[in-house]
Amino acid sequence: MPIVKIAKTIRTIEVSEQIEVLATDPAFKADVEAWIRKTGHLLISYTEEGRNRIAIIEKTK
Amino acid sequence: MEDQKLKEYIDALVEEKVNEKTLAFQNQLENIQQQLSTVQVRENEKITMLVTSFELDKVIPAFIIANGAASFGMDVTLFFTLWGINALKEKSIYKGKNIKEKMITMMLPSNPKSTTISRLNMMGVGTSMMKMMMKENNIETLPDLIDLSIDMGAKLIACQMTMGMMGITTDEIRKDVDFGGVALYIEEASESNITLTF
Repeated sequence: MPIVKIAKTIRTIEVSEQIEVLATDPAFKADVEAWIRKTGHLLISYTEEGRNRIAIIEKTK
Repeated sequence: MEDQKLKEYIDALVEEKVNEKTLAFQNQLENIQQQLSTVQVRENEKITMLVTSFELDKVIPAFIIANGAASFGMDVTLFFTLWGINALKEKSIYKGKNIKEKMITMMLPSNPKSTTISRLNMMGVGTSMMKMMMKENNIETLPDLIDLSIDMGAKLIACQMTMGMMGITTDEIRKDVDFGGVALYIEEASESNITLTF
């Protein structure tokens, strides 16, 4: 569950630090966008390469 | 000279009156500010689930949603009753139980690993295949999902009425679980934005 891993990791970093997430979950784009909308963190970039989906997220609070 | 004194007297009087009036306002303002601050720290969004089944296709979605909701910062409570309690067992204990309780203990799973799918189980072949496919798709196993939910701060509650009826003892249940009854469930559910049943 990539979203769970993101939520766990975001707790361990400082505000304005970024994390890069590599996922293969087909629903990852929809999930990460919903998570961003709800939690208010920033989605810096989202790219797809084959099965891999890469998101860069910045902690805002 | 008289005028000056009179002026001072009036000034003092006015100030006193103004203070008196504004004191009420000030108190009111403080009151409102206090209320506002309690509104701002209002409780998190909350989800409560009732898990009555132990089939893989019921209990896995329950924990996936629980972990998802916890990732969104929601307070998560899962209430386990009837077969759902099997997900919280870590072993079976026979000592000190009567014959009926021993029989049901023998028939019940002793840990969450032994969950099966509700359809196409085919004496376990279907379940094995399903578990294999889950692994290939990087989906966590049920025991991992349970551990993860605890790690994410979910509150797991085992129904004491079911435990009493089936003779399940607290020693058979994992340590990070709370025990409670319908009142606790209703209390949690009434504060929730989402309630689900599995």
